[in-house]
Amino acid sequence: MNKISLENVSFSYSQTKNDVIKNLSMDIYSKDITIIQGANGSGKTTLSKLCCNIYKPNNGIVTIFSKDAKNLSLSDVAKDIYYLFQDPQKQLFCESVEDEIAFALKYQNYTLAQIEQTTNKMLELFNLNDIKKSYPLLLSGGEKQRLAIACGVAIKPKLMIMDEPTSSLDTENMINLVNIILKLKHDYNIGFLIISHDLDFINRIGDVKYMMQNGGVINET
Amino acid sequence: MKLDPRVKLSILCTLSTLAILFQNVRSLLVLFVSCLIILMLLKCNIKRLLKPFKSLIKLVIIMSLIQSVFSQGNHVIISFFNINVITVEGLIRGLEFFLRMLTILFSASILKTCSSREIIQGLTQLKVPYDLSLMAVMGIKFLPILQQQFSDTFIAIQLRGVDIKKQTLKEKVKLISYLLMPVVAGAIETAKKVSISIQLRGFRAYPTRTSYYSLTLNKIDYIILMCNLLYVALFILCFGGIN
Repeated sequence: MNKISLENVSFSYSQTKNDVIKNLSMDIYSKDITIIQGANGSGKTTLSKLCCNIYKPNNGIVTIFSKDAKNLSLSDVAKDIYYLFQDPQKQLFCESVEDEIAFALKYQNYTLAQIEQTTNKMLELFNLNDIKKSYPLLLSGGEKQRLAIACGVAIKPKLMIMDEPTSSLDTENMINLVNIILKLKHDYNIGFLIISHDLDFINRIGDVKYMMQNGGVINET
Repeated sequence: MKLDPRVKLSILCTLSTLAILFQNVRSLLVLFVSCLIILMLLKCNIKRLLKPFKSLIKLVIIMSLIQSVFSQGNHVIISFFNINVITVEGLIRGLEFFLRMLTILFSASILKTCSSREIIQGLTQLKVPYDLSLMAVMGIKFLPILQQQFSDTFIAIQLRGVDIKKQTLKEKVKLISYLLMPVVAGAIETAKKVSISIQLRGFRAYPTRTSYYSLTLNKIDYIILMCNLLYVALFILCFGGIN
């Protein structure tokens, strides 16, 4: 099944500290736009990192697209899932915007023509053509985020996890992001798991919404 | 045992200086054991202290072996085509290097039993300019942030479908260069922000600075300082002629 399943998952950052995620069970489907909301420290980001195997649970089972996460490396997970960090700067490391998009394609046996074609398509789709030679770390917050999303879409994931994607965006860029997400879901069949506490953003988007508190889900709509 | 940070600094200086000056296994072994005893008296969890040094210790072991291979001697243990690869003298050199590095690394851990504020105050009361001591401590505090940035970029690379383990050595080196760019850029960015925020809080706005916190040496601190001096004298007396 195209879903991430968590069964009785618990997680703490060290053995001496309290559980950040407490005995949580839930399914996240790749056909949906799933929103996880909740106050600071409720465990939203930790949950998102458990969903893509950046963190391993202390107890319970995480199944990513029918495979036990214990047996998957991060590069295995990347075949189905792309993770967008809260600060997209953390995941930009190439010398130019077009290199950044082409980076993952070079490691996936694409031909040069395919790499060029996909890169140009992403530059066009995310309106990055004018800055394709620019140094990624010098772009504005909105541009960095569009670029980080473009890098993910280029490798055709089934699900994209976004951690607080609107935290550094103004209203105009937030609305642009909503449109991008809806377009990607409709045209590219990509599902989303979005961590956010931005009510304006959440009210515009989302098929399934969960509310987290103290490491557990208290409400589903 | 609660000690003044200046006393801890003096122990650190003693151990690391003696470890550099003395070059035989016996003296270095005594220094290393002394260092371990001091860490235990200061109630340091040695296992926990070792954790961040894990990769460094591996490097020290490799360097010791290299030292051993490149140090020549007459008592050959392994040789290839009449070329001495490992000799007894080489192994002793390697062991000396290993003990010296371990003593320096472990003695630096003594400072881990103080907070950064205590170290700054200790250095300031030792007449080190406040700017310099603040900078030194902030540099140390920066290391975990750099480590986190490395780790985040490493995860980001793997989450783009790149299996680093399966890459050739050449590709691995190339991928490491990708790691450096955001880490260096991030470090410069953070340093800029810290510098601005420090200045916005009035740093260097006036020539003098009032400190609420002041350190005073207790009886136990004086006793330890005396023991430290005695230790240096005895050490020189016992091992001074061996080099």
